[in-house]
This record gives sequence, C-alpha cells and structure tokens, in this order.
Amino acid sequence: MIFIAGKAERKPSPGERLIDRAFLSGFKKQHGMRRADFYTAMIVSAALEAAEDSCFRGTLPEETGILIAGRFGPQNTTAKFLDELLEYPEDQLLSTAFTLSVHNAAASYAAELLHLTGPVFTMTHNGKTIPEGPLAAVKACLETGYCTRILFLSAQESGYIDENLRRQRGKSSAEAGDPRENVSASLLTIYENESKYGPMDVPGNRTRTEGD
Amino acid sequence: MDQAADGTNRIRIIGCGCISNAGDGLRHTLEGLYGTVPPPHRASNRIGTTLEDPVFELDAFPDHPGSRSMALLEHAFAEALENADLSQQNLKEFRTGICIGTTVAVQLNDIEFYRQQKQGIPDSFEPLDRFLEGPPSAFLRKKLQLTGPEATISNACASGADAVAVGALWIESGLCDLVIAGGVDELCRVPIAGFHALGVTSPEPCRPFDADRKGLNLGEGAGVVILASDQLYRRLHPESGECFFLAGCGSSADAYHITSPHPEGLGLERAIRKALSRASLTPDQIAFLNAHGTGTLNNDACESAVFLRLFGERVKYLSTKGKTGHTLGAAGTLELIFTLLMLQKGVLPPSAGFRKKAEDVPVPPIAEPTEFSGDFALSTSLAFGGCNTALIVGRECAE
Repeated sequence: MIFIAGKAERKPSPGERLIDRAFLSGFKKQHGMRRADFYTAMIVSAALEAAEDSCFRGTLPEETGILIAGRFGPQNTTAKFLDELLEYPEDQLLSTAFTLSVHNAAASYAAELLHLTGPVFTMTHNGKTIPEGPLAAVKACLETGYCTRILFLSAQESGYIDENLRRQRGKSSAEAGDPRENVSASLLTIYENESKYGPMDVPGNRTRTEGD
Repeated sequence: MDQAADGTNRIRIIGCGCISNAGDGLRHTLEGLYGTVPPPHRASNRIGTTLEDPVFELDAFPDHPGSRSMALLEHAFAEALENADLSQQNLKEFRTGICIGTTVAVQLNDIEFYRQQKQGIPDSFEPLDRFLEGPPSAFLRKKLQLTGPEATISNACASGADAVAVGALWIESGLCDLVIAGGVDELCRVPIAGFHALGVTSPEPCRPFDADRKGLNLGEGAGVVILASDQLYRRLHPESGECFFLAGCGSSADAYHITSPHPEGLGLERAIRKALSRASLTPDQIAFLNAHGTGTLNNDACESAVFLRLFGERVKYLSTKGKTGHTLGAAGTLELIFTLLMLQKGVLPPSAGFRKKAEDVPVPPIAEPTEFSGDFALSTSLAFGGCNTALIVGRECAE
C-alpha cells in the first residue's frame, strides 16, 4: 500500500496563467538559488513544502527518492539558450542557460537542498495530463523496495511552446485547453504510520503481503 | 532484484538492437568494438555548428523527413524485435510497456524554427507538430498501437540506463510482462554548443582515463533492449540456452552539484552498492566494468577512484566512448548492450583512446585485449544533476 505523507500545490492566482513570479524570486533568494530558473524554483518550492507538511517536518530520510513528471520541461530556459545561440557566436555562449535547460536540473536542486541521495528520475511528457508511465514508475519503485519513500512532483510551466506558438496558430493556450501553470508535490511512503492523507488513489494500490 | 536462486524472478533480456559509431546492428557493433571504427570528424553542415569540436556522426544513416531521433530509435527497435524473435503483433498479446531515455528529443530546439517564430509567424508549424508527437516513448507507443505504460526519461546522460532500470521495475512489480527499454539521441547544435560552453569538449578524439584527456566528443545513436519477465521468457523459449538477464540496478543522487560529480564519487558508490545488493552479488563476482568514461577530467577521476575503492587494484574496466563519442540519452542503453556483447565474447577490447595512465586516475583501464572469467558485468552512467545509475547484467549458460 502506498500512502501520502505530505503534499503541496502551487497554482496561479485566479484569472492569471502564471505562478506568482515575485514569490518564486523571493524563494530563490531565500534558498541561495540565484542562478536557478522559475521552472526549477516552482518545483523545488513545492518539494520543500511537501517535505515540511509531512511528519518529518522538512528533514526527509536521506534515501528518499525524487520523481518529476514535467510537461515540456523548462521550456523558457531552452528558449533562453536558443536566444544566446541566435545572438552570439557559438564559442562565446554562457553555460548557465544550457545547464538549466537540462530537464533534470530541478531534481538536482531539490536533492541538494533536501540532502536526498535516493534514486532521482525526471520524465517528460507532452500531454495535457500526466501519462500512466511516471505514476507506474513511482508505484514500482515503492513496491519493489527500490526506495521506500519518494517525492513525486508534477509540473507545467507556461512558455513559448504553449503560449507563443498557440497564439501564432490563431488559438490561445487557454482556448486549446492547455493546463495553466502549476506544480504539485506528494511525499509518498510505504509506511502507514507516516500517512497523513491516507492511501494514494492509484489503480492496484494494494497492501503488501508476505511473499510479495 | 530479489531474484530467486533458480532464476524464476529474473528480468530477462530477450532482444537487443543498436546503432552508433561502433556499428550499425549487433554484428557490426561487435566488429567495431574489437576493431577499428570511423574516427570523429568536424560536425557536418547538417547540424550547422561553427564549432570545430570533433563529433561521432552517423554519416551513413540516411536523412529522414521526420525526426532523426525517432528514425534512429525505430532502427534500433526493429533489430531488437527481430533479435527477440517477436513481431509487432506479439507485443499486443502481452502487457507491454515502453520506457525510452533521451535528452534532445524532449526539447523543441529547432533553431531556424525558433528564429522564425521570434520574428513572426513561422513558415511551417511542422517542427512543432513533430515535437508534440514525441517524446520517443509516446511516439513508439502510438506507432505500435500499444496500451501499456510509457515514460520518457530525461535524466540527462543517465537517461538510457534509467530507462532500463524503470522498465525492469515495471516487470518486477508485476505491471508488465515485457518492456521495450532504450535510449536515443541525435547530434544537435544545442548540446554541442552547450557542452562547449561548459568547457568539457575535446578538440581532438577523446581519450577516456588517459593522462592527456581533454574532454568528451559528442556522438549519436540508439540502443533498445527488450526485457521480459521470467515467466514470459520461459513461455517464449521453453528450451533454454545461453541467455542474459538484468541481475540488478541501483541509482543514487549526489545531492552535491548541478554539473560536477561528487569529487569522491559517493553517489556512484551508493548506486553500485545498491545494484550489487539487489543482485545479491559481491564485488568479486563482477568480471568487468563498462565505465561511463566520458574523457572529462572530473568524470574519469571520480569513476576510477570509486572502482578502486569497491573492486580493488585488479579491477578490469574500460570505456567505449572513444568509439562512439558521448551519445547522451542513448549511452546508458548502448553501453549495456556493449557489455552484453563483451560478456558473450569472453574477451575485453582495450579501453578506446587510452594510452598513458593519468596521475589523477588511481587505477588505469585495460590497455590491451583481456580475457576474463565470470558471468556478471556492470555498466555505470553518471549525469548532470548528480544522477548515478549502475546496471548489472548476468549470463546464464545452457544446461
């Protein structure tokens, strides 16, 4: 059985499509993440909040894993590096945007800040909802003992792929039904005594029995 | 992987397919690993970079009207399917999952398209549509009309190894009977420029673990393995012969730095220990190691130190990146397949590009063809973000 030990969610204010940038900037400053992009900041802020929400009060067991399922990944940072490529000779580019455009940068920051050394996976999808695969991976990690706790994060940053390109095609991202920017985090555990929100609602969530 | 002594819980590797600069297909790859391969050259006009860093480009692989990554993936998958003696129709008869690692194919990084959309309406939205059709696992699932789980791993340079690990966990947890797991990446101007900006590309052919190593060369390719539950394997192959299995996997985060590996390789050490533990093996049962071995100063020093700590001074290890370049998201799966080929052959090729022991590399890789005994080998992958993954493969001989 998989239980939810802590959770956090961040969405834009009503009527907005973006998560509050002032909050994210403040978060970066507070945690010494000056170079990090907003995509990383929104993920790491949710990860820390879910850890804080749990019985561990922010200090998770070191072997806790991390799995991030992101739609498009850090698309605005990818665009930033493409801007560099268009504006400067290739042998004079700065590496920061490239480094952060790598999809698992957010997981790296989360692992570093929370001092987690468990398995880390970043998965990217293009659908409007998370596909079955990442959830299946979380479930498999926990059921096989690959890790006994995992921070599962889902993130969607708004940016040039969904906003600009949709508009240029004559349909806004909202009209096309794209999700608004959002991030959610759940700390999942196999230990019932760590549960705060009960069992996770996934198909086949079963109690482990001897011989499993 | 909690595998029973009689092998009844083993994750079987029933098919492999690959393409890289070491060779197109298993047979040519075997020849390439033990012979000579085309050296890296300056990136072609197809990529459009002005940088002079040599790359391992698959010149003979035809240009494709769609995504080159998807074409490479389909190419490797077709061989893996044939190697497993399965048809596409067979895949629908089982609970089949797809897990593919990549770096380039999850980014909309078509520079000309980007330039156009910055200036106004692009000439065509085809690059966007092609991007949205991916990621690779979703692309393959749609093409094969499968209904099982799919996931595209974007764990930087460990993506291909992690895809195999996740596929194995899906089988071990009982979710799937069969998983198509692999990794793919094409050469692209964006990572070429990015790695150059990081100062880790070599101006000459890479020399992993060598005293004169100057960095990495990028490459392109794809590798696919077909994993099966032991139950399905026995159904498909009632008469057992020599076969391979994934004995264990382990992964661990450094929690240290976004680009540099932990200087003492603590994350890699944890990943290897975990893989050994899940395989119920001790270090002395590992016949050899196929290292990540990129040719960068940090990676090679860190890996070699960990190998010495865990396996001692007589450790046999090598890198194949001197034959393929760093194929990023494909590397983990390709190198797992290379490891299987070496395990089958019983002789290791010299570590490609290595000539002279480096002072910061405490134990050197093998420098000449080396025989070994044993049925288990280990392949390591390290990535940006401090992700470390170790895969152990085993050989089961005919009874």
